Amino acid sequence: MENPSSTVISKCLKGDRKAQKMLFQTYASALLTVARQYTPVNEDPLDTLQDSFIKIFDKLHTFDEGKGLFISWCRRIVINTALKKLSKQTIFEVIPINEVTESFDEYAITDMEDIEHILKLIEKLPDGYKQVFCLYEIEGYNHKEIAEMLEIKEATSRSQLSKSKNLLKLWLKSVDSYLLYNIQ
Amino acid sequence: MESKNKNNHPIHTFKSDLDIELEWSKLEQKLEVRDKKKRRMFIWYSFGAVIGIAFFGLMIFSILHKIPNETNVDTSKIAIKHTNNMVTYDQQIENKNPFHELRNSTIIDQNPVNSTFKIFNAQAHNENTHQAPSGQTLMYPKTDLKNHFPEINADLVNTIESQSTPLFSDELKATFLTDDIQAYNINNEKQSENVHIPFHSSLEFLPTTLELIPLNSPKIEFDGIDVKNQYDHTPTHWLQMSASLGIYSTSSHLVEDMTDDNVKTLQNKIEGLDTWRISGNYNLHLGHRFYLGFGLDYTRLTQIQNYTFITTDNTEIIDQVIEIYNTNQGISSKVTGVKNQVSTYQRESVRYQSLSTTGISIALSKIFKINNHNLILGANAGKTVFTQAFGQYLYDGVSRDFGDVFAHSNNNHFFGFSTLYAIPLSGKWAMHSGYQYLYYSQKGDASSRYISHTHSLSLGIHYLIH
Repeated sequence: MENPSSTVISKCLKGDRKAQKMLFQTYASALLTVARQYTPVNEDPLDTLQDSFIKIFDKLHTFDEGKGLFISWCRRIVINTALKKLSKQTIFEVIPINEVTESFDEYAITDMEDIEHILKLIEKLPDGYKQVFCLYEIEGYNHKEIAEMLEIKEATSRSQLSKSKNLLKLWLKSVDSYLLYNIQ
Repeated sequence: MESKNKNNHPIHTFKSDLDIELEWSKLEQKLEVRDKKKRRMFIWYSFGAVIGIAFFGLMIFSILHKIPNETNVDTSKIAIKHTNNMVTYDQQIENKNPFHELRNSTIIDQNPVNSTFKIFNAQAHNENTHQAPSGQTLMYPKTDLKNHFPEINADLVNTIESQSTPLFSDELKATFLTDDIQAYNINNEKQSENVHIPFHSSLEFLPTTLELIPLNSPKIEFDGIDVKNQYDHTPTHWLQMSASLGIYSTSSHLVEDMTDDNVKTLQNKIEGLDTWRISGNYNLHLGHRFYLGFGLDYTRLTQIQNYTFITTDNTEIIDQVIEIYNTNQGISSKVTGVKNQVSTYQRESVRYQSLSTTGISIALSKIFKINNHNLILGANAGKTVFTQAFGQYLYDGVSRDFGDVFAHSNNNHFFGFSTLYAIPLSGKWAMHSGYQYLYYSQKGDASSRYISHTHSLSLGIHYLIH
């Protein structure tokens, strides 16, 4: 996904609604995926998306094209906005699950249907599980970084990741997972 | 912070289904509300700024142009009063200048009897008393919290580029100080007679500050800019240095000195030539945005002090000719007696001096985030571990050196609290304003101590140099 032109950015900075809408149309769908991954269970990812876009328009003047892609910059804003809504207490909630020891990497993502399926499951992970899982597996942060971001201990991050993987594996393996995935 | 780069993760390019038109209409409504709020905020800030500027202007004007009533002594209206009359003989009394630092002296005498007067009890003027206001002004420790957190402005105008952290910031700052100074003589049994509560105010202008911002200094959270940026900067400890160079001007007015009836008023104007300061702070992050700082600083000031003393003396003149009359026989007779006379003198003196202080301090601070603004609350305490003054003064018209006059005043300490509110402006500019209270105790000499309560308002602008 290419960066928006400098003309669009400058128009957005001036508050031009048409340019802002153009930016929204281009990036909203991709950023909604991010919002779905990080928004707490009891919050609406669409609200996160809207709040994020307000921040994007506000801080557009700070975007430096030379330092990366616009979509990456927006992703970080969405992640940050979603994490702000996360109650730290919920991270420590323990969901009783059956321990599964298999590696998550066995489940290779092959097509868009798989992604949609996994995203649905990730969305249903408890708060704390899904944020740690996404930050580690999708964004590529290590446990030390995640611990700093979520203001938790490194060991907690490892534990949350392990439990989230186990839970996802359980869901993926389970026959019921398909049903769960279809229940909205 | 290192992280595995998974930018090519397939989920990154996945687009969720979304009703663009519907969501845009919702977002547009929110944007309209936000814009309206912004306009309202701008009006309020403008209003506040105008009020603030007017307040500062008024205070500065009052300092520069209004001297309290007690000091408005119109010397032209003060004349010698005549009281008792006794028949004796004429006598002339020599005039003697009692002050050590006088360059010129003006004696105002509207007595119709042309005479000069000896000034009794001249040494009763306590030099330390005179030095107190100026000494206090000069020795104020600089404890602005901003010195512990100069990087706050980097955070206020936080950008992704700012992760590379600007090394220096240029600052414009104006500070207004108002002091109440109390002095008392420790060894004097009649302490109540030696307490004076003068009004002392000063205006300080320090235009240029260069600050070294360490790369590992903490960042203030700034919504949504960069997750890594936000969480990268939570160091447990860091060291930072700052240096400032500038000119300053201050003036003070002592309303009434009750320690000595002879000196009713004192004006003291100080013209600062230059000031420079080097300081270092070792800071610890205690968690939850509590910061503990240990500071060490060295400050040196060069200044010219212009003193104006207005003294009133009661003088008893014996054998003063009171009246001359002629008898019917053409004999001229003189009636002489004792007169109590009150004379007013206005004198000025000039001191050229440099003062230096070395101080240690400790500060505990907490940063609050209010929308995109930052509020810093803090408490600090410290001690001046070494002070020194050296320079020249005029004695009987001859320039003389003096040194280490404050060397004995090592027993100075202070504590206070401060608030700083910082507001990001456009681009690399940020504005901050604050209030600071400081209790300061200075041991003047072996027998006296000066206590001051300082209320300081500040308004400043920061510009970042990347």
